Amino acid sequence: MIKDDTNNQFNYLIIDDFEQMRVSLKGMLRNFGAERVTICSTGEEALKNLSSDSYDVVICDYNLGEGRDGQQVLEEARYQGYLGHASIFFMVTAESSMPMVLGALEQQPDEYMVKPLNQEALHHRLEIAIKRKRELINIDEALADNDIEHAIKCCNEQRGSDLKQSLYLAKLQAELYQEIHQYSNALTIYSDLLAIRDFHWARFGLGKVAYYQGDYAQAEEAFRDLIQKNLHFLEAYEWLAMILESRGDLVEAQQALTHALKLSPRSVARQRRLGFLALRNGDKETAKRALQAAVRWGTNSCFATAEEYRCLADLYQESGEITKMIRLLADGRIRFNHRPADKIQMLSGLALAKHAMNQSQEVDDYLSKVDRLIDANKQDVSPEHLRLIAKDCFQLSQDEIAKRYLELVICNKHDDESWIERVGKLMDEQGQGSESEALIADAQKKITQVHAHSLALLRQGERGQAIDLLNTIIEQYPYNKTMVLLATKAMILDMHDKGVDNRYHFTCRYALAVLCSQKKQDPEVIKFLEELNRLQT
Amino acid sequence: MSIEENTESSPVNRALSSLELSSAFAMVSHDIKNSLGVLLRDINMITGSCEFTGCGMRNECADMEYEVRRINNNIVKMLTLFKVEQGDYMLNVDAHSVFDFLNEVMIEHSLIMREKKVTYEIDCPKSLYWYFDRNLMTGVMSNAISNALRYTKDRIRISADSGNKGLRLAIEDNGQGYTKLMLEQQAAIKRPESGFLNNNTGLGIYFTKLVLDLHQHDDIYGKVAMQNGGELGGGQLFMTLP
Repeated sequence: MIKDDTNNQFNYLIIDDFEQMRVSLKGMLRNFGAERVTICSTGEEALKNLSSDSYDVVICDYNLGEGRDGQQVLEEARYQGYLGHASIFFMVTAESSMPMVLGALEQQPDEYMVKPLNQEALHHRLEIAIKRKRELINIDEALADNDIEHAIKCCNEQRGSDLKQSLYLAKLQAELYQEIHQYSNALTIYSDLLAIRDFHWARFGLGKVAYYQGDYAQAEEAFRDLIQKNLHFLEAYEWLAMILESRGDLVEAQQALTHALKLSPRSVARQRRLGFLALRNGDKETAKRALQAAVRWGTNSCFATAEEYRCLADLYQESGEITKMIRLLADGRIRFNHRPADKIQMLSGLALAKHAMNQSQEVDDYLSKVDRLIDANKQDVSPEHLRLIAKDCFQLSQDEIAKRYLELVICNKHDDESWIERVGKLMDEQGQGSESEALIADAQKKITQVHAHSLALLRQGERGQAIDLLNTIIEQYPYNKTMVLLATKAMILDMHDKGVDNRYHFTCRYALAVLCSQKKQDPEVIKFLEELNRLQT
Repeated sequence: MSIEENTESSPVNRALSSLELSSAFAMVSHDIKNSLGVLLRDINMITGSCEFTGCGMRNECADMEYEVRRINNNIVKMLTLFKVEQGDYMLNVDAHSVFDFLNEVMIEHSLIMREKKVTYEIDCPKSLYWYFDRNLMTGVMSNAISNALRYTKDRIRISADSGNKGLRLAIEDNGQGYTKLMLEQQAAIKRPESGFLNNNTGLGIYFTKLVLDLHQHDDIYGKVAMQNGGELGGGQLFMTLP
């Protein structure tokens, strides 16, 4: 047995619902030289530990009883960034057939270990994994700095004679290329790998790349092919459903998702998707069941969203189950308390419930809470949130409030045709079509005037004044890309000439971050972010 | 299923009940396997402490572990065959260091080897890597080692290298070797009526062949062959993994 000094500096976490197993594992790790070993018995406890402390080695039993299973712990921990590429995750399963089934999932542990565990074998595997994983620290560091290009470079440089490690790095590299939209590079990697062996995840990668490149037919073929080869490849069903849905084959899309969920019902995101899809298909029973499942499995999960709460609440409202509706929204209100936009959705849903019960005073109370929250959290409340709230207000016969919110939408998207159309459509549906033109035109005028004025100021060399004016506007309408980019451009120019101004710098970063939340890796926004980064150095 | 539902014996119902029967079979097997897991862990602890205290029942413990391991291996084999039969399996191919893999498999059996006073050697280049489903190949190797342990006098040798047909693995021992009948029947591995499957070695070989075939690559299939002789003079099991 090798007792390495480094082993005892590591932080270890054991997750198992059986005490005997926890004790036995802890003993094995102690004999490995481990000094810092934390043990816990549920997935919930594990995630709490993972969020507050960083662990180098996690050994997790797949079957954890009532709550989350090991796979869910793994997925959430990776998603939340608690586990980097340098950390080790061993999944312990009771049966040797489990890895066969779990092996088709996108998130894979570093090792599967089948019970009964043998101490010497565990030590042997740990030693090998630690050696490999330590080499990945620089990739984690690059990713922590959001320097994807550098992480890709590290992946490339570190591919050596260790084939297992090389395969891991190639896969990671292909994924990183996709993140920065360099699809042809990802494609090359996947094709090269497929020439070596028929790796199903590489086929899946090819399908995704085809999709991102807009070749839906080829993507569809790839996913169908993969499902035929591998019934358990759940993500393939999900992507196939997405393609079918965008093509309008809603029924088949629903079937594909249903199939994936039969294999693994605990996926919150997949249940939610099925719920929305079934709703579009008019299959309200399925929608309700799926959304209920999403809410149930989403309890304490980081994958839960306010959407399934609100959508299910609307279904309850339709079927007259007001008590259920109120209970659900009240839960959601607590659940999403820290997220203003989500909380607003819950509150306006509660207003609808009270409206159904003819309690007008409470309706007003909820609506004024909504109004205050919207005003105080402009950056968090997106145009889509505003549109939904406006729709609720029309339902509550609060037409004036609804129109005020729609005006906000237009001010945030004054030159975006698709949004103007959406607002017009909503007003038409609500019998307000005659007023929509004026509302839209007024709001557009408000922004275009400021836009013209700012440009004039800039031309006259009054940059400071222009920036002040633009900043008051983007504070009001943080989702207006044209205005944000103009303001950012002016501030960057100013800092270019006069040196970095902390207030400007912060304003720029914050404003661009809001745009990023709308569209990930938007090249125009990225260009400005890069210019901002250059200023600092 | 309630009695009422059972009275109607349509073809659909019959198919259903046979499906349920095989599911029940799988469930029971899983349950047995879980119990064996607990048993194996306890036996391991006892054997470990016997080794430490020099207890007189060491041999019996080692035998016990060996037998439980055999039952365990057989159940795993059966469950895997069952999954393949149902089309409900998936191959999880990754790159592995063959050297690490073989060491790991031998470590799993190290306690029992010490007790049985069997020494082993691994002859494999450290730089040898191959693509395979480790879980399935662990089953194949455990089976081969378990067999070798049964027949060897005191030595087992595992070797690996790569050739143009794939990864070559050999497990050799210094026992009496395979019976003449076994060697004659090996050509008929895939024909159950040959009687090949009637003994445990036969099931093991069948399982091995199946796993190797699942790894087919570029239209090359895995091979398994038995022979007697070699350096150690006992049974030799050769496998090729494409």
